[in-house]
Amino acid sequence: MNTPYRFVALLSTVALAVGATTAFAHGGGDHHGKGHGHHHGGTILRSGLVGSTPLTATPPGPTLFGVPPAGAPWVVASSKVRIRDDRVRVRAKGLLLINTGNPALDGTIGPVRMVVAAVFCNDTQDGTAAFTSAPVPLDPDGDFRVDEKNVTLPSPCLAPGVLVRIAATATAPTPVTNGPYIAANGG
Amino acid sequence: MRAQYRFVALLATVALSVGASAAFAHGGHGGEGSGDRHGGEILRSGLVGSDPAGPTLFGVAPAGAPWTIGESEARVAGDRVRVRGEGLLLINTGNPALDGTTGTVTEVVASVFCNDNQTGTADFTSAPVPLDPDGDFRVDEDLTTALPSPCLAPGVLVRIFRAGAPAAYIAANGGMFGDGDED
Repeated sequence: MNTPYRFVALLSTVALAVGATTAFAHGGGDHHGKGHGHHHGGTILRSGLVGSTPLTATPPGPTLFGVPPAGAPWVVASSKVRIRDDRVRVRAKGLLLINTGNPALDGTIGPVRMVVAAVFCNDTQDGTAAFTSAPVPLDPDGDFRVDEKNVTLPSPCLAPGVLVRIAATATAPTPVTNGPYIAANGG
Repeated sequence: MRAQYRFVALLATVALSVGASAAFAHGGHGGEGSGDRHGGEILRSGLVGSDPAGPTLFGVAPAGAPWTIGESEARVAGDRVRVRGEGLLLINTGNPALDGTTGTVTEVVASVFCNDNQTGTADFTSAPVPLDPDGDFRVDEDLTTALPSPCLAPGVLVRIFRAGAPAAYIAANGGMFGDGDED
């Protein structure tokens, strides 16, 4: 009886320690919210992505930072945006066409093969991003991942925004960085 | 001894549950987008003090003197806006008596702009809150009128509240928060 008692007591201690550690780690996450107003490698934006709506829709999707939305509607299943002054991470699953009027296209990526993530700062309206990632594949499930280090953003980068832009299609496979957007940060 | 054993076993079970719950709560942390809002967080950012030579943002001009800010956080969800700052103070004004103070500013509002709104009229503006002499303020409002859906490329401005209306901004989101180690 003495041995199982000791074992359970040990288990209890370990479990409490794990719980406390996890809870404190979560509390530390809250501390992450304390900004200093300067860039020292810290996160400046956390957000998700929303699929775009065409200019021709009712109501139309907005032009953002001087960049128009793509000509068909897109939806995003899940996504994550993390921007630091030196690192840009953007990923999504299920970035797919929807309500195109062509059932064969809905739920696919259509002709899109590659995308870029573009970061805009200071409410620029000329379509020129402060940073544009290298093109990455958009797989047939609508999944992609951008993770770029050694990024330099303007300081300050006020009101930062992120667009996911078409970089290459099946008929125009040479990547470009000035395509329309198919997702933007927000919710 | 048997009762004691049962008590410790119960304690272990509870503790494991607490640990698991905390871990799951952490896993559900904000910033994960699903394309739908459902009251979830759509923006989390820090704040940066304004500069008179800085950009007009969403149709709102910066204040006429430079501001700096200490710790800060802006969080926007579909149903709640929280913005707080510490040490939002004038700096490098050319008047040493003003530097490190809030000058004539006693109240501020937090404004949220969506979808590249350039009209200067925010999609949400909080009630005015005091900016205390240390430059501290806190906005925490449940939204009675929903933000536009979707609210793309959201931005947050902290604006002077004067003569019953929001005026120039003295801070904007884009400042650092966190230590950069988060996933």
